[in-house]
This record gives sequence, structure tokens and C-alpha cells, in this order.
Amino acid sequence: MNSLWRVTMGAVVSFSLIGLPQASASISGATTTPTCIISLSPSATESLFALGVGKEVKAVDATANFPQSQLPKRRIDAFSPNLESILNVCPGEHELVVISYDANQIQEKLQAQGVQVLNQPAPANLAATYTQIRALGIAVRHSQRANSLIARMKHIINAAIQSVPRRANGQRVYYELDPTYYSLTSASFVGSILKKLHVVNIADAKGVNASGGYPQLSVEYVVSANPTIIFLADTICCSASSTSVSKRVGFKSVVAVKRNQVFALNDDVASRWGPRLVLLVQQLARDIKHSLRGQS
Amino acid sequence: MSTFADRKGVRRFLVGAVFTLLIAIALGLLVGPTGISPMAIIRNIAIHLGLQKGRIDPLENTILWQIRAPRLVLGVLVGSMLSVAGATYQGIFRNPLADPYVLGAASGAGLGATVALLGLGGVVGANVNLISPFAFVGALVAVFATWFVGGRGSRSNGATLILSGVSVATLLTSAQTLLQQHASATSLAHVYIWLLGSLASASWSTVEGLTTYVLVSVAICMLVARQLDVMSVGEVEARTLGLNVRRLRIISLGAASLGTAAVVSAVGLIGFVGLVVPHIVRMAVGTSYRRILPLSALVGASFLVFADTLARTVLAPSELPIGVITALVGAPIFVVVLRNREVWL
Repeated sequence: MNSLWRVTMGAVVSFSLIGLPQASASISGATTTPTCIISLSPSATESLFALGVGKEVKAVDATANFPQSQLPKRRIDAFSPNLESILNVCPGEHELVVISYDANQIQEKLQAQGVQVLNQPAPANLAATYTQIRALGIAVRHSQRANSLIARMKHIINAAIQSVPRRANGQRVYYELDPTYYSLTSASFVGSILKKLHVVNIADAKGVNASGGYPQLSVEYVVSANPTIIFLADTICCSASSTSVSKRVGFKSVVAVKRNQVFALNDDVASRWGPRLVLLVQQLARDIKHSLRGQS
Repeated sequence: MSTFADRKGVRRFLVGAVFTLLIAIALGLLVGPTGISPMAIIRNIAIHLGLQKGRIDPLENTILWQIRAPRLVLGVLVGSMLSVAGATYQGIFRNPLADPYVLGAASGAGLGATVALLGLGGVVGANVNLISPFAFVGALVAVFATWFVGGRGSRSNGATLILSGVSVATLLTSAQTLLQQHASATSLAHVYIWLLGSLASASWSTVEGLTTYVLVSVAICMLVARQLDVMSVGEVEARTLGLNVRRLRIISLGAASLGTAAVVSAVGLIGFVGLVVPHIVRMAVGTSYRRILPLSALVGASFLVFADTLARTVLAPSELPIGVITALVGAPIFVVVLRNREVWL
């Protein structure tokens, strides 16, 4: 998802701000039921509230924004976490800290203080997402709730995927991460979902592993690939819209623009791997089907 | 030693530079991620010139004249401006390490772009459309700040101004870092992408917006070339020769900074061009700024157009940040320059 994209770009441009994601989650530290949860992963924060342990979440990272009204006021910077600040959130209680990136070796430092840490980096596919939610459920002692949440997500996601006919493989999709034409290939998380929806991803042209799955395409290539569907995952960050896309150089001749098949996604929903993932898959499926109807 | 230092040699270098620029432009037009054959491109051009009749493929036409052509022109403008600005800064400060960003223009533009991308608390909301104007204003504010901190050119020498530039740049970079500290990873990615610079957003309107700034700035820098030559004997000596050093500083730094600010606001930060190109030219034709400035404009334009062609084709359909190419090519050249630093003595 977008997090993976960010990480990959960081690596490509030699900025080691954030490390490469790992496929699996890891858990460490104490085994007692946590009474105070600090979530430095916005996706995990959403999952924790969906598991019904929102009240135990006492601090979240600076970018968490869902569920907005229920989030605690206390914020901690996930990219530069301060050990003292974390330990001061609820001293004396059984803490669980969830991270998606081990900045400043915070995992090791917290463990040394006897704090339970759950590291959940950006997943590579749907199965890894479910594994992370399951691990979260185990950590907060609500495995049953986690399993039923996963079952519900699977049901909705599978139904959405199955609702898209195989003839969608005639659709060429350009998935935009930002207005400078960063996109994602089928090796990425969202790319793997697009693949399940049978469409052809134009970013796969040079191989799915190009640029770590998050290549910056040239405008010339995007125009010449002539996508039939464009998904915009940069509507909040960068004000991208079907109107702004239609005004870009060369895009007037692109089929997706001519047929009004430029679809706006919510940046946040498109970059989180929590329970709201179902909304993303449902929208992708709905928009692809809409495009197919427009053709027939 | 300068290979083309005599009049005949300079003429040969000039012809070579023009020829190289034409090749760079032709290559930039012919090569791209889309497989349009050279014959089809030549045919398209012939039809446009009325030399041949036939139907023009709309996609081919769009790619050539709406995507590749403005990008080439933008590359020419940016490469020329950065090189001329770099040479001017090197001349006015008598410092071979000076580049277009020495007075803090890059840090100011970076902070401006960061404010546009991330917002500034509740004061300014994030708005991607404000990147260019904010970067432009940021660059100019930084240069003015450096000018005032450095004694406005009257009570200071070149070294004081450079040190002021370093101080202002450090301060602004710290402010930028502070803003980034509170940003999401997505926003951070956008800031870094901008900082790396790119010609990908080129359009005829970008070219139109930049042309006046570049032409005026380059023209002013070239008009003061003779005074820059006088400066090369030393600041005190130049004063005794009757040169108004303060006025020269105001005019040349003002023009170079205005052009740099305009360029940076349009394409982001592209490093090494303004540092390396004047050195290459200086090594070839000698130390006179009457030669260095116009030839730097030509060589800088070719350098950036070649770099951009590489950036958009090496990993096609992916793009490489142009800053990576200019640094990869520029760094080794700079090492050679350093090893031949007697050129400066």
C-alpha cells in the first residue's frame, strides 16, 4: 500500500528514513493482558478500535485519524519515537506498544523495559493482513473477536473480488499514488488486489519488481499505455481529481478520461491495511464493473 | 590547462557546444519510453513544416509536441540558468565551490515547498498548487536574508556572504526538518520527491512562465561579465581599479538569484549543474567570464537535456530522478576539476 510505496521510494533515493518492510509481524515482551495500548501504526489503531479495545488505546501516532472522534489526544511521533514519552503514557500499567516501523531501535529499548511490543510492518498481501489482525487479537486477548473480524473482512473482500467478471482483463489500469506518476505494480499490496480483480496494471510493463513495486512512470508512458481506468490515490494529499487529470498534458486522448473512468479514492483508506481495507476493495470492484458496463 | 583558450579555440568550442546542444535536443525528441520510430518522427516534423502531406497520428503528435518538446525546452532553460547562475556566483565570490544555491536559495525554496505540501499549523493549509509560488518566495526571502545578515555587501566581503548563506541555509533547513517531523510518511515522500527535482511536470505553460525570468537573468549576468573579470584580480584590487563592487554584487547576485528562484520553483532542486558546468567550461576556454558565461549556458543546456533523456529512458517506463543522473555524472567530473585546480590559480 502507500506505506510500502513510501518505503520503497525512500530506499530508491537513498534516504534511509524508513526501513524496508518485512512480510511477517513479530510479537515480543510480556504475556499479560495489556491495560494500556500505544499504537504507533495508524492501520493497527483502526484494527484495535474494531476489536473493541479502543478504550485501552491511550496514545497514537501523529498520522492516526480514524475513528477520529474516539482517538486519544496523546500523540507520539512514530518516525522518531521517544522512549521516555512512551513509558510515561501510563506508568505502572501493562503496556502494549504496536509499531509498524522500528525507528531508533525502539522495539529493543521497550523490550528492555519489559514492555510488550508488536511489530506490524506493511503487509505484502491480503493473507499477511489477516495474520497481523490475528496477532493483534492474540496480543490484546481477544482472539475470538479478531477471528470474527477477519471472517467478516474475508467475506466482503471475496464477494467484491468475485463480483468482477473475468472479462475485466481487457481493462488497463493506471493506479496513481501521486501527481508525479508514482504508481504500483502487481508485486505491491494494492497491486496484488488489482490482480485478483483481473485487470491489467500498466505499471507491470517492466516487470512487477521494478523499483520495488513502486515505480515512477513517465507521463509519456502513461499516455501511450492509454489506460481505460485511472484510480487516484492522491485526492487528499495532492488534490488530484478527474478534472485535474483531464487538464494534464496529453490526457485528453486517454480512454479513461474520454469515458469518465477516472475514479477518486480516499488516500487514507487506500494506504491502511486495517478493517477499512474492505472499503477499498469494494470501491475498486465497483469502479471496474462500472467501466465494464460503460463498454457494453 | 585550457585547451581552447585562444580565440580560434574558443570559436571551435562554441561550434562544438552548439552542435552538442542540437544533438541533445534531437536525441531528446527521438528517444523516449514510447516506441515511436525516428522515421515517424521525421515524417511528423515534415508534415508540420508543410514539406510532406499525410495524416498525423494524434497520440504520436501529443507525445512529441505536448510531452517531449516542452520538456526539452524546459531542460534548455533550466540547464542554462543554473550554469550561468553558478558561474556568476563563482565569479562574484571568487570561490570555485560556489553554486546557485550558495546564498540559501535551495533551502528557502525547500522550506517554501514544504510549507505548501505540509501546511504550517493552522496558519497555512497544505495546498499542492502553492508549491511553485511558495518555493519562489522562499528562495528569494532566503537570499535577501543572507544579504542582510552578511552586511548588505557594504561592510562585508564575499566570504562573509557565503558564511551568511550557510547560516541562513542551516536555519531554514532546520525549520524544514521541524515541519517534516510532524508530517505523515506520505507527505514526507512528496517533499523528498520535490527535493530531488524533475522535469516531468513540463508543459508549454511552465516554459512560458519561466522564459522571461531566465532570459532577463541570463542577459543581466552576461552584461556584467566584464566586471566579473575585473573582480577576478581580487576585491580590493578591483575597487582600486574603480569597480563599484557593491553595485556589481547587487546586480549580479540579484539576477542570478531571481533566475535560480524561478527555476527551482518550477522543477525543484537539481544539483551539480551549476557547480560543474562552469568548471568544465573554465577548464576548456580559460578564466574570462565573457567566455565562461555564454558557453556555460550552452553546455549547461546540453548537460541537462542529456541527463533528462537518460532519466526518462534508462529504466523506462519508470523515471529516474534527474538529480541522481546529474550527481552521478557531476561528481566524477568535479573530482577531475579538483585534481586540476591549478586552473584557478
